[in-house]
Parts: sequence; structure tokens; C-alpha cells
Amino acid sequence: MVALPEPDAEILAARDEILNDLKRLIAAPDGVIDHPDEIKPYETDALTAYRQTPLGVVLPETTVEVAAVMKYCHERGVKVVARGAGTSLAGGALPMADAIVIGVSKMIDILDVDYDNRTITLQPGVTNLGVTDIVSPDKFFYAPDPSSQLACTIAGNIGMNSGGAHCLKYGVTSNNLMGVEMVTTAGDIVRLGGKHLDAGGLDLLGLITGSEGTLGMVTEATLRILHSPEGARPILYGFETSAVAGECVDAIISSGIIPVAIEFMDKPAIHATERFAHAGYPLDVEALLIIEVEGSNDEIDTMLGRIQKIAADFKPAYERVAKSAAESLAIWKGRKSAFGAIGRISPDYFCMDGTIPTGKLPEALDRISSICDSYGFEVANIFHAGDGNLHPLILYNANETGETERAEECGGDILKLCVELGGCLTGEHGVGVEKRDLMVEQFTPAELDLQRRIKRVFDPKYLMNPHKVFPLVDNPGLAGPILSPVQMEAGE
Amino acid sequence: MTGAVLKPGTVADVQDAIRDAVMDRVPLAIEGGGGLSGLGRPMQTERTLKLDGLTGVVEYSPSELYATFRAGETLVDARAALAEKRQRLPFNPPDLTGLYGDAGGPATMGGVVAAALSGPSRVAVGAARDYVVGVGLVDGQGQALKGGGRVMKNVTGYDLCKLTTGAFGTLGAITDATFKVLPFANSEVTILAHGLDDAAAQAMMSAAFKSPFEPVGAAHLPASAAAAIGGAGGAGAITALRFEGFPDSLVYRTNAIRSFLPAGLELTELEAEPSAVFWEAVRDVAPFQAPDSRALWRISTAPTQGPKLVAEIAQSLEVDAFYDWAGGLIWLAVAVDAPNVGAEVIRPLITAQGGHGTLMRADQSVRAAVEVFEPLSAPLLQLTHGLKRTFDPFNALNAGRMYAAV
Repeated sequence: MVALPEPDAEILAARDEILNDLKRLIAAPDGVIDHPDEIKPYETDALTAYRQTPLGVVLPETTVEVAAVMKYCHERGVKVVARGAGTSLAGGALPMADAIVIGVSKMIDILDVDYDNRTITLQPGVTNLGVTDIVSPDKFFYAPDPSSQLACTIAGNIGMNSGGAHCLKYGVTSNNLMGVEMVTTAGDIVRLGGKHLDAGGLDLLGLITGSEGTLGMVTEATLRILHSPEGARPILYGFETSAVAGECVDAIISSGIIPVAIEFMDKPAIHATERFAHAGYPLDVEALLIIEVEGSNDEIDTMLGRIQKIAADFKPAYERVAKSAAESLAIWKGRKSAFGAIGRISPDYFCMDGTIPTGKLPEALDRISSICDSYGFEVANIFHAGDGNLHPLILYNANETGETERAEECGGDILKLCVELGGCLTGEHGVGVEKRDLMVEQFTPAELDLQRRIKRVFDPKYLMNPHKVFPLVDNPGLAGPILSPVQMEAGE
Repeated sequence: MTGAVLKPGTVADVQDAIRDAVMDRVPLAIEGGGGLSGLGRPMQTERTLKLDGLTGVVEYSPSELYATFRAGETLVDARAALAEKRQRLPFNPPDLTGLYGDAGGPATMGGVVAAALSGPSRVAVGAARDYVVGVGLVDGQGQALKGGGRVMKNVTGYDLCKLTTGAFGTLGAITDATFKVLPFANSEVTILAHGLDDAAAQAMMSAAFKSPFEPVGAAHLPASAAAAIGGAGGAGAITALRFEGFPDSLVYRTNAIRSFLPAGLELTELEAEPSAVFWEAVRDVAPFQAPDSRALWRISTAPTQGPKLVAEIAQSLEVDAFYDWAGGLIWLAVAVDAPNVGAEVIRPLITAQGGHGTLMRADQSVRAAVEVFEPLSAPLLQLTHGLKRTFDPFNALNAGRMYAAV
């Protein structure tokens, strides 16, 4: 288990005083949660292996309230963990015993819908799917589509730079986020970007996207919305080996065709999801690809024809084009409910999130399978194959002594493999607490220190989600190598 | 360019040059080809670190859709290397050296990243920042660092690629950059509308993006700008919508979109080759290239606000403008003898509308007297200074190019 630091005894002892102070800053009578029963849902997120009870939970409704709370916490030295819907698979929203949680569940106003500029501006507690729901009557949509989109919030999407199945074509959150209003740790309200297409000055918007709530708190977001395509249709392919499926993905992309999505599932994942969603997936193949294309009916036919011609060279054991909207929906329902489906066949699972260059897909599959074998765990693989984002799900049972630790170790080995193959530790879930100590696999001490010093610029007292993302060290971001010229000459 | 010029051949040479500069307390100007040295606040530097010797393709994997170039690789060579595999940089970076005459060498990939240069396709597919997936840089203490990697999806730690893109070399000397690349479009075609005023043109461009037919470019050239590039179908203003894809799909979409556009437009088409030539001219800001020596502003605002902003500026200043990004990117030429080349008129109007402006071309004395980049609010300036100190504690790298002490 990843170690959590000892809580600050002074802050714990001052809990009542702090919560009373916070109640004065929030207008709504139920805006500060302090009863243990009501705090309970905030003890963990979707990485349920970790739990901590925070001091209390604050649910502001306005930017001004967030600013007042942030300013108070900054001055009082209270740690802050920002929370969207708590769907993080990496422990990004895991609180600390000596921290308050600021939740965005009451910040759900839509402030502006502007089709001429293709933007929507809203408070960040709106759910991901909620954005599309608002603009879909006018045939618009918001592109990033994480599997948790029914529940997860825009706040969390920005914090983790969330992706989804369709980001092969449309990009991840950072590519679809045009501006934010943000409260700094000192309580200043700043704006980054807006309805214009690039921002002036340093790209602070790019820096805070994916910063996992460690640099400030977003209180308003302006998102790119797009007109929906005329239609979309998936095609399913089954292959006798995962390696051949990987080669087929490679061949399609090499040919110059970039579908909207290319999703991969291996046999255990196919079986689990089929039992759950009845999508009509073939059960006798080792690997399944869902490839989706968009456009008019004719364009879709033509594009699928080109893909079919390429795929034929790889002798797929199964091929089926969705023939109706209902069939398409069922195919995607299966994929999007995959994590839930796995949850039904295994008491517990860890969902990994590494990314690799796509050409390494067959090698990665082979070696993931060996790693899991060596630990004696079953693994189900669900990948965004088009962009090399892997989600191996390690199946374990937390009630067996020591199994959680071994499953974590197994996951660590898989992520190290991703780095070794030229990829990274996390594609869209974030580092959180889960992968914090693996950061040394991807970054040099100098690079990690630079990142901690960047955090210090935004958060001089190191209060925002302080035990996440970077391995714990004493005085993070203060012990860095800022050398005098004389020291540099001496080669220190 | 002033004083000694250092031409490193390796990353280690770059590290040495920066350490030497810190020890000698001599701030460095950092440049690639040097063609954009007229962009930014004038710097007090006595040494130039010129990275145009760091050439070449480090790694290129067409099937994995990424390519890594050394900073000094020219844009022309990088495009050619990708074109061999029928691929390209999707954000279509412009070569803006033509705005500054023959002062410097060719545009480089380091410059594309440092100046965050994005072309007409930005409105549809994203900007330089969206396609830079990895950078190598040397910070102000001579440390070689990397940000990002080779893959498109990466949320491992802070996004140093985006922070470096558009930092004008103030945070580090870029030594290499990795880009997501995409296949060439199979073909392209451009629909032109003729004789629209700016407001009607913007309405047409917004209408096109409110259709499902995916235009990849939308620009409006009033008559004078259209005349300056010539050849795109007669006299008068032209408004252009670009489409890419397979030929059968292009025929379908360029027909189908007409029902989404305002009625009564006089429309013509540019086939593949003239279409590409037209968009290159828009991309590289051909209407205002040297020998045009007027002061030049680049303004980014919400697309629907573009014509309104230009009209308001034109009430007090004589200006010549054209629009890219559906109206959201304005190139605005102002006579050099206008007081402070219009800064006191232009900046408050941008602030009122939302957006930002950069004084892309003006005499050195003007660039010393007025802010070149959009002025920052106090908290943002404080964060910017903090980041500068984090990367470059001794102010050794392009000090003062963006803001005082940054």
C-alpha cells in the first residue's frame, strides 16, 4: 500500500473551530458537512482500497464562496482536497484526515450556450454526459467521453485530463477545454483562456489541466462543443490471437484512415461484458475490436469498405457491422460497462491506465499476460487501441491476506513495462495516490523536483492535494537544486 | 543579433553554454533560424545561443503517428520528411519569417514550438499545443529535462509540453520536440463566397461550423487583403471554407453544406491545387509579408466578435485586416506613424471583448515602449514570474522577451 503521511495533530485538534469558521463562509445551511455519517461517502473514491475520513466537507455554490474557503485554508494552514463525483480510479479525490474536502456537487449552473462560437460555459459540477444532454437537442455534443461519463464531473475531467473511447479523433479534455475561471490557493480569482482559440502569456490553462487538483480549484469552465456527425456506425471484429488484432489496428492507421474509435477487448473482458450487457459479442475469439466511423450513410459505407478490405488480410474469425442504431448502442453499452461487468466476476480489481506506442501492442499484451501469470492473477484487457491507452484489469480478492498488496505490485510491474516500451504511467486516469511512488520510473530526480517547484509557485504552503502525484519527500519543492553560479562551477 | 554567437551541436553543448552564461552573468538570446527575432520585447543580451545546428529527425514512426525533430530542423525539411510517408503536422504551422524580410534564416521546429505557431486548421483540429506530445529542453541551470513523451494520451505529472509551447524560450532552450502526426488528406476543395462584408462573412463561417460537414478552415479576406494575394477568383472580398477527405465525400459535403449557409451567396470552388495554394497564403500571412512594413497585430478573440472588434478599432485608426479561424484570428496592419502603433486604441477594445493581442511586427523602439504580449492581471503575472524563476532562476534565457523579467 502507498504510504500516507501522519496527519497534523494541531489541525485535528482544531477540527471544531475550523468547521465553525468554514460555516460562516458558506451561505447554504447544509453547505458544510460535519456529521460522521454524512462524511462517510467522501472517505474514498473509485480506488476503494484506500480510505481516510476528512475533517469535513464543504459544498460551495459560488466562485466567491470557493475563494473565501481557499483563502481561509491558506491562512489557517488547512489542507484541501477538491472533489468532483469521486469516480477517480487513481485515488485522486482520496481525502486526508487533516484535510477538508471541497466538493462541486452544488456548482451545477449552465452559464452560457453559444452555438455560433461553439462553446458552453458552466460551473464544473455538471456531469460530463450532462453537457452533451444540454446541447444534444440542437445536435451538438461534448466530445471527451470517459466510461464514467454518467457520473463524473467536468471538474474532475479537468483535474485528470480525462479521455475516453472517442478521443482518437476528438482529443482529450485539454484539447476541448477553452477556458477556466480558477481560484488560486491564496484565494485569488483568475481567468485563463475563454471563447478565443488560444490564450495569451504562458499556457497556464494547459498546465492546470491534468494537475489533479494540486494547483488550484476550477470554478467555471468554457468547453468546445461540436456539431454531431450525421451518423456513426461501429464494426466488430474477432481475431484468433491478440497479436493479430494489434497488427490489424496498426495496418488501418498506417493506411491513412483514422476512425473515431478503435477499442480492444481480450477474451476475459469479452465474456464478462457479454454476460452483463448482452451486446452480441462473439465468445469464441481471443480478441475483439470495435471500430467506429462517422459521416453520412454513404460516407460510412465507403469508409467501412476500406477498413474491411484492410482487415481481410488479417483473416478475422468474426465480422459484424451494426445494422441499426439500437445495435450500435448495444455494442457501445457493452464496452462502456466493461469495468462494472468485471466487478461482477471478481470481488475486486485494479484498473491500470498505461499508454504505449501503438506498435508495441502485441508485445505489451504478451508481457502483461506473463506478469499476471507470475503473480497468479487473472487479467482482463480493455484498451483504447488506436491511441495505445491500455486498461489491464487485475482481478483479485481483497479479503485474502496480502492479495491487495500483491495486486498493486503486479500493476506496478505492468506500468513499468509501459514506460520501458516508450509510453507512460497514466493516459487518462491520473497519478493520484495509486501511482505516486512509480513516478521515479518515468522521471529523473531533477524532473520530479522541477514539478514540485512548479507546484510551489501555485501552492507555496503545499496544501492542495499534497500527498498525491509526487513521491513524498521532506519539504517538497524547497530542496531543489537552485545553485549559485559558484556552485555550478564547482560541478555540484 | 548582438555579441558572440554560440552554435551548439549537441544537447551537452547547450548545457555548457547555459552554465557558462550563468557563471559569466551574461544573459542569452535563444534562437533557431533567427527569422522571428523581430517578435517580442527587445532584449538586453550580449550572447546568442543559436540552435539551428541541432538538425535532423530523431525518430519517426509513421504507423504510431509520432515524429521527433531536433529544434533546429527546418519546418521545410520536417514537412518533407513527413510527406515522404504521406503524413503531416495536423495544426499546419505557418512560416511567419516572411513578415520580417530577409533578416534571419528559415523557420525551425524549435521556433514552431516556442512561438506556438498554428495555421488555418487550428479552428477545426487544434493548435500547436495540442500536437506537441514531448519536449526536450535545457533549463536556466543547464539541466537537460524532458516533458511528455511519444504518446498522445499522457497525464503523468504536469504538462510541460504545453507550458513550453508558446513560452518563447523564456523557460528553457528547446532541444527537440515530438509531435503527433496524421495522414495527408486524400484530397481537398475550397468553397468561396464573393463580395461579403466582414459581418456577413463571419455569419457564413459560423454557419458552416454549425453543420455536420466538418470544414477544416474558414477565412475571410476583405478586398484589399484578397487583392494582395491575387488569383483566387476575381476582385473583391472572398470568404473561404476548406474541406478535406476522400473525393466522393468532398462532393457530397460541399453540396450538402449549402443548405446550412445563408441564402443568396455567390459561391465558386477552388479545386485541390489552387485550394492548397490559397490556404498557404492565408497560413503564412501573405497579405502582410515584407516589403509591407506596417506594424502588425495578431488578435485572438471569439470568432463572432472578430468583425465587431475590427470595426471598433477602425473608428479611431486606419487599419487593414483579414480573418482566419472563422473570425477568431485577426491579422491587423496599422501605419507605423500611428501613435504607439495603435496600442492605446487596440488593447482596451480587446480587453472589453475578451481575447488577447500580440504586436507581431513593429520597430524596436515601439516594442520597447508598449507591451508586445497581452498584459497580465496581477495574480497571473505573479504566477508567470514564479514559473520563470523555477525554470530560469538567474534570468539567463531570453530574459524580458515576453514581459519585464520574463
